[in-house]
Amino acid sequence: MQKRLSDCLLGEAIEVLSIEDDFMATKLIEMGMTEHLKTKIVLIAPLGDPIAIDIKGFTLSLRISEAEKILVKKLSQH
Amino acid sequence: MKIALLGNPNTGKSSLFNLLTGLRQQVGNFPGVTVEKKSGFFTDKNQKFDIVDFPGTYSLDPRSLDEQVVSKVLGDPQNPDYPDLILAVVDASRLENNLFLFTQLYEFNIPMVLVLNMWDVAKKQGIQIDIEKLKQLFPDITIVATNARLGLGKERILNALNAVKKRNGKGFMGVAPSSNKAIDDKIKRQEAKLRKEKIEIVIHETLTKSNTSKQSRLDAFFVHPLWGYLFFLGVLLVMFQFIFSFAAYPMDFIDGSFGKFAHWMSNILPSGVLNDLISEGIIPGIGGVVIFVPQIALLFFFIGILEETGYLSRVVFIMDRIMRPLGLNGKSLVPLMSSLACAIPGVMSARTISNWKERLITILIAPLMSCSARIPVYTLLIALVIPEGYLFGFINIQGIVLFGLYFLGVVGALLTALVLKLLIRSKSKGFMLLELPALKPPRWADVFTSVLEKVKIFIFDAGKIIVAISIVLWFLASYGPGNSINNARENIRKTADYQSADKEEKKNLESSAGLKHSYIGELGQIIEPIIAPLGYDWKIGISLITSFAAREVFVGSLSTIYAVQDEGDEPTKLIDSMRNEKRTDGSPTYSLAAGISLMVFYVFAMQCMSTVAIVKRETQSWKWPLTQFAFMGIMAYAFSWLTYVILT
Repeated sequence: MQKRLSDCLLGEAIEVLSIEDDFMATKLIEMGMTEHLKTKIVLIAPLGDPIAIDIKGFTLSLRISEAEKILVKKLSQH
Repeated sequence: MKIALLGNPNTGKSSLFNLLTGLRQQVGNFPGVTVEKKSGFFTDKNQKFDIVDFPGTYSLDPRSLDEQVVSKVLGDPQNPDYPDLILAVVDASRLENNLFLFTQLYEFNIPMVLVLNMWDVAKKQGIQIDIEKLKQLFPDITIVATNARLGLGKERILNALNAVKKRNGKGFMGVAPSSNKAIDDKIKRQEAKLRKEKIEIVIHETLTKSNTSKQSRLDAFFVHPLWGYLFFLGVLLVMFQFIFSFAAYPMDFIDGSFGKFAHWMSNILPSGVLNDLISEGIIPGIGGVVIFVPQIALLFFFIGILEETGYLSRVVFIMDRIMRPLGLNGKSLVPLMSSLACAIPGVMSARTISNWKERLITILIAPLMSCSARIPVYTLLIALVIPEGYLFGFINIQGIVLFGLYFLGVVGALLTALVLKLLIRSKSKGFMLLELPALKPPRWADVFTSVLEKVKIFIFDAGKIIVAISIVLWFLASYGPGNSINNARENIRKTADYQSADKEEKKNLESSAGLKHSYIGELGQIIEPIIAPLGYDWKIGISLITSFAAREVFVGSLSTIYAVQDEGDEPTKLIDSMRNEKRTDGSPTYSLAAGISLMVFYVFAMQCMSTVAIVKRETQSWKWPLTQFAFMGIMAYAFSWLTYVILT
């Protein structure tokens, strides 16, 4: 099921499908987030914004306005 | 040999720099930009190594100022900072992410040493890196493993530096990263993607991971909607307790020592202009710089700990959403809170904000937060015009007024931020992709080095301007047009009051007459028509001008003008003289309206040359401190006038 990263729940296992903005996508690749990355939201700030995701042991915080541009799909948890 | 130290943020790069150079380092800026340049040197086997610690970046793609500096230096062999060797640092526990920058650096045909730092952290996380395999993949560079936090690996690095390998010119992707800014975002994205895919192959061949990492449980606490904010509030309370109360002791000591030193100098030097210049201009001027050192050092000690442990980025995380509507970001909070103690360290600590617009707005509004130098002014004026008493029987009226002044400053700062957000145009896109580094105990040596660094910047960079302005102010207060000061002193000696006064009073009367006829006195009288609508006379005008040295000078200047001894904390005599002061129509000069108007003026006006100097330093131009001086002046004038008109 496709949805935006901004709509995901804390701890939900997800896979990144695509990133809308070329500029932001480049920045994200530099920081380790690529398409097909399996990740999850590890922290959510009190007002729901920003959120933080795990990138292979590296915690990246991004604003909701940025997370809206990232399309993900939910992975079935084992 | 010139070495460039490069790596991602949070890789322990600075620890490594401190480990190699010790305290033989200096901080400046790269030419033309406000990007911090730390340079230092060390010697090994009779060879001197000059090393520059470049800002931590994730790539060489020149988007941010930091990245532009790095790619500019590496792309230009004529650049004075162009290195003979690149010392690339990666965090071994996050090798995959860190290899992006490393492989970009590898494209340059510059001799290179790769440092796999934080080796023990990686090991603890069950990460195993096949160094032999890495060496095969990158055969023309030296690879060493270190743990700079624990001070391990210096020998290995030095050995590597003494046996530098020649590069074979092949690179990683075979093409240097384009430093061309005009290149299309799509192409850049494609380039980055290809590089990343190749890195994934390298990782697949060299790295094995046995267990999955877990988010620290502390993190859930730090960002908790209730506990997170409460804990942060507690941290702030402790910080301010230290900065307000404990800095007072060394500050009093510094104040006293410089006073004694000035007195001693004036006694041993032959009297004359030189004596006055040294004992009344230069020494108090330097004292006025040094007195801020305890507050600056304490503040940066705490910020250093917060940064080193990684906690500060959690604060940014929980504050960002709240600060954003004002054109600020989560990182603006610490500079603004610090400015309640003193705007100087506050403005300096805004460096952690990477977005230029948000940093600039933070710097511009910081001095509106009421600093500790305003306290003596507030207390004097409150004691003078606000009656003692209680509202509803338990709320202290004078206390409420004091709180109101602080509140006015905070509201003024936030509303100004809102206006500046609309006025200042920004080139950079408002992304905030922020790394939350793993929580760890601070490395004390790094904390102390950063404190020392900040103190040095303040003393040498801002200090020059502060001492220069102090000397100008001293000159203006000690000299007047023609022989006017001497004449005034002569005249006062003839009066009946003077004849009947004791020795101390005679001295006070003379300095009062002198100040009134000095250039500053003249200036006070010239500006009287301008400040009259606010309810001030020329004597207050003089004090406003001298306050520019530091706001608390207001009290001392008034003491001189009213020819009373400056008694420091409880100026009862001064208050009496001020209370008896009458206008030409017989009404009291310090009416309720004039008094409150004056307090409002001190809330908003930029009467602090040290802050002007530090803003100039941090923004690298006179444009912003002057803009700030102007808008704060306009706010002060407008709101004081409004206050005076409403209350009379």
